[in-house]
Amino acid sequence: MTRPRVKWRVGLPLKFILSISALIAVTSIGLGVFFMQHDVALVTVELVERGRSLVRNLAFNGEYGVLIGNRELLGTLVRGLIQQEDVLYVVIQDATGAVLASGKAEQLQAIPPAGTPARPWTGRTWADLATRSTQIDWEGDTVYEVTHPIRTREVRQEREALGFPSFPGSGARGIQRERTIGLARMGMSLSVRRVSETLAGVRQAITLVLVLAGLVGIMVTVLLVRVIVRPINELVTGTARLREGELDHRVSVSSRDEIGDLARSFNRMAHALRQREAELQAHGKEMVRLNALLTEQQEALRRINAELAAASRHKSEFLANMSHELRTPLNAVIGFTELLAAQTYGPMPPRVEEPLQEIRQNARRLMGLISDVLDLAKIEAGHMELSYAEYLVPQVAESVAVTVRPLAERKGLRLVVEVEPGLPEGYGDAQRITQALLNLAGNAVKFTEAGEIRIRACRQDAAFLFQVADTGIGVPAEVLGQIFEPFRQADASVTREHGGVGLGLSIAKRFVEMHGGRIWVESAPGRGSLFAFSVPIRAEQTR
Amino acid sequence: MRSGVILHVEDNPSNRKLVRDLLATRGYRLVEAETGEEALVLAERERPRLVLMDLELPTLSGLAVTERLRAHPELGGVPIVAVTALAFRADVERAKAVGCDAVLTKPYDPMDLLRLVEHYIGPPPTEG
Ligand SMILES: Nc1ncnc2c1ncn2[C@@H]1O[C@H](COP(=O)(O)OP(=O)(O)OP(=O)(O)O)[C@@H](O)[C@H]1O
Ligand SMILES: [Mg+2]
Repeated sequence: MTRPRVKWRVGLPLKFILSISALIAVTSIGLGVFFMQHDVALVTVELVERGRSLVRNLAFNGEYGVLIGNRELLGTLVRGLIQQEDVLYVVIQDATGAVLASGKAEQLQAIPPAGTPARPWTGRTWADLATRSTQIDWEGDTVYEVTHPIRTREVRQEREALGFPSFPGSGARGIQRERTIGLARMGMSLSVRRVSETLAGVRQAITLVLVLAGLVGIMVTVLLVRVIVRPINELVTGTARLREGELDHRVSVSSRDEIGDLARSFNRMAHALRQREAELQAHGKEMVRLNALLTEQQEALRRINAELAAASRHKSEFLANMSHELRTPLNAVIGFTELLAAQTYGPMPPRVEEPLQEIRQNARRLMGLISDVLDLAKIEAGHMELSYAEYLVPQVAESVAVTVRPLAERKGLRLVVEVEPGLPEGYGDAQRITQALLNLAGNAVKFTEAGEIRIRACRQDAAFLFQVADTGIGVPAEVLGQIFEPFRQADASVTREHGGVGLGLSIAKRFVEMHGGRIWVESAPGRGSLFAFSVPIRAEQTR
Repeated sequence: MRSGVILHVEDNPSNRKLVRDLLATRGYRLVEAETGEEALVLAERERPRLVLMDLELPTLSGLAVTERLRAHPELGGVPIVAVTALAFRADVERAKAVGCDAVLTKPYDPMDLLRLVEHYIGPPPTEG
């Protein structure tokens, strides 16, 4: 969140103005210096040119004065020239170098003598070879000295001299000879006024340029601000608004340059973000919907589950109650039958004895059935609790053998009981374990027509292993997995013949599992069956 | 002193007759009550030596009757054998908790009942 803050924030407009101003300043100063030099050079050329024409005139006008040696006349010429502002001195000398006339400007202390070291004038001049211009340093100033020889023309009439007549208008026909009779010499210097005038002009020009350049600079800055700074600012605020979540925000920059590209790319990015967010939102909504659906279904499942559990509990409770109701009348049936059999009512006629036995047997079978149903109901209603105690495996095997042996013998089956000697004392509900083993053994007798029933008990690690093997009809593979479920019987026709409702194995299974053991079967039709279960030697009481 | 009478509390007539046939034919003296209220009155009057108590009675349950008998200053010590079609272990335990000496689950073998009776009050008084 903390943005690095620069102490001196220099915005782009300021930078533009500063750099443009610097540029203008440098340019103007450069231009000024150039123009100044240039103008001064021009003025100098002009000065020298003027000097040259002045000295030529002087030489021409002074010809006569020099010829006749009229110093008066020459002095007048010199004084006239000295009046000129830029003329420093004027000297007229004869061929021998003697000064015939001279004059100097007031500000000058002395006229530089002839032969003062001079530099040749380097400025451009007219091609007038006779006029010479040089540059000398005199009294701390640069003086431009111009000289011109004073000549006179002597025309000798060659024809006249040779005796030929001369034609009128053909004066040039004679032989002309020029002779130098003296020298006109002049010193020129730039007047302060001229120079300052020149410089003032240059200054004006520079000022004008500066003002113009400033205006142009401001315009350029304004333009730059419009073209660069404003779009950038817009992009900056656009980014900020995007960050605040305003994904529909777009920047309105459409220039065809890099900034325009940036803006368009920004807009595309915002668009992509918007779409992404929309997708995410859609996803989120879908998720919420699915979640709600899931919760709903879970709720429904939970309800159904609860209903099923309640129904199952009701069923079990109903069965339990039913069996109570059944027990009371059955008690009378069994009781009276027993009393009859015990001859409580006197001796029975022999022919009723057999029917009486039938009643007794069926009443007991009914009783067993009711007990089974009740047991299962009790287990499923959660009322069945094991009553844990020490027990001995041989006793369990023995009580099962005692019950089953008469039935087996009646069917002509051999019953073999093998108990591993020296088994430790077990801990569990002996009555339930006995019942489980009895149910297996009872089935073995019931579903075996010939051969033998073998009951075995031995130790296997920390558990007792009980096995009941028979040579009976066996169990088809496809129902092997189901016969431990309540009311499941392998073959309706076989069981109709044998009786039973299909509870024996499921009760055995539950008793075994309540002890923390397991029960299983190996069997094939016609090959007999091996039912087995194991229970921990010391069962956990927590179940 | 306690009489030699057995008080049989049972609402089902067949089962009443069954016990009557079982015990009376062997010489035991028996009084019968159909309801819990009746049982209390009879117990007070007859001072039985043994009570056979059906636990499922219409209004006043066998458990309640047992509790009251146990609270009675003179009848408190009488042996009570509960007879019940309620086969849940919890039911048996509750019966024992209120003071029943034994619990017999229906349907029972009449000979088992006979053995219990003999256990508590001995063989029936011989005639004469
Ligand atoms: N030793 C066995 N040989 C062949 N089939 C068996 C054997 N034991 C069980 N079965 C098959 O498993 C089915 C279920 O057995 P289970 O003991 O649960 O019921 P049941 O014997 O038919 O009836 P109940 O035991 O309730 O009287 C039997 O009906 C039978 O088809
Ligand atoms: Mg069976």
